[in-house]
Amino acid sequence: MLEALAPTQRELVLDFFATDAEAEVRTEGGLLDREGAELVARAGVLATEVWQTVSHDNPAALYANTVIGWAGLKLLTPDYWRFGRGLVQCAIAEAGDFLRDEQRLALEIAPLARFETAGDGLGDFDLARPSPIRHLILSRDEGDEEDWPLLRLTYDLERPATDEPSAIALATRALEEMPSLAYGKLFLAADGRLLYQLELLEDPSRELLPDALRKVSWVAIREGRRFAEQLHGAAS
Amino acid sequence: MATWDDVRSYVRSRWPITGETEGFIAIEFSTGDGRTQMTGVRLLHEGSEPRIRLESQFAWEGDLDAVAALKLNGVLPLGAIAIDEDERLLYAYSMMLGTLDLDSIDIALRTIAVYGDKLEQQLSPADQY
Repeated sequence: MLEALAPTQRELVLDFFATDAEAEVRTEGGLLDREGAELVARAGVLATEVWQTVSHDNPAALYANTVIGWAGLKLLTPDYWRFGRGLVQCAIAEAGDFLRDEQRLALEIAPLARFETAGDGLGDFDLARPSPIRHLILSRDEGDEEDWPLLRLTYDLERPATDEPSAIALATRALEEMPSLAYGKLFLAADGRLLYQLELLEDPSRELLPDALRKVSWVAIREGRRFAEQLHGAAS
Repeated sequence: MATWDDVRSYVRSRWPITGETEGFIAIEFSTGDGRTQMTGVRLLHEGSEPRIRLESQFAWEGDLDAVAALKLNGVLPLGAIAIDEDERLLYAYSMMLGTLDLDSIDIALRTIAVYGDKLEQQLSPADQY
């Protein structure tokens, strides 16, 4: 069931995305699944604490950074929460002497308490955060019983065409661009928005999924920005 | 990492080849009701990584309204409609050689052939491609 998040929750989840994957999390009508968002946020809270505590040369930082990216990509299932928690524990284990005992204990017991007092101590996430990109949408297609779920990353190029001639010019230019694309496709939505979309199969090798998602989201953002520059010009 | 020679061997082992030039293999698929669809595998070196493009021409630019074609891209199951440098309308799908699982060519190539033929049929009952 989808419902609007409390402002602090929504800001937190969106900020995770902006921090690492530079994208906005959106689902139906801009609403997020509350329970899923909280799970994501809890994992992100833990990971960010690790990231802020240890040296970034420490292997723990790599795990933590992965979790932050994963959390930002909003994989809203309990399985992913457990997966994220497992990664955080790897990070804690890898942190070695960088974590004092009391810090390590604080991280171990943190997940059940921090996010339930929303807003408490979460202000630190505002540090060193780039401007979010509001054009990337992540969606998940469960598929049928035989298929693995499909993750779709869609970059919204909005409506670069304003009239019929410019729409035809834009569409022709987009179709001419397609043969050079190594990944993804361009298409027009029913409401006239031009979209660039990449798909990623959510296969069983979940230890590889966060990294794959980060790479795919990076491609989506890079190519989406390139098309935004090229095709808005073509339609004007 | 797969090579172009791996791809050639795989394709040759599975389907009769109707033509081959440097970096391109043509295969003719039967798509049912007596129809066939010409489909190809092309080696491309654009960009930082080599890739193959599975492609099937179904019309020429101008045979299909560009806006309608771009809308169709949203519902096609794999790959997308594209206009190539020879102004052909293709249904095409790219796969990177560096991460290619050869067996994945099978279903992808069949999909390109079947939907390429469906697109052709939407424009004309003739079986030209």
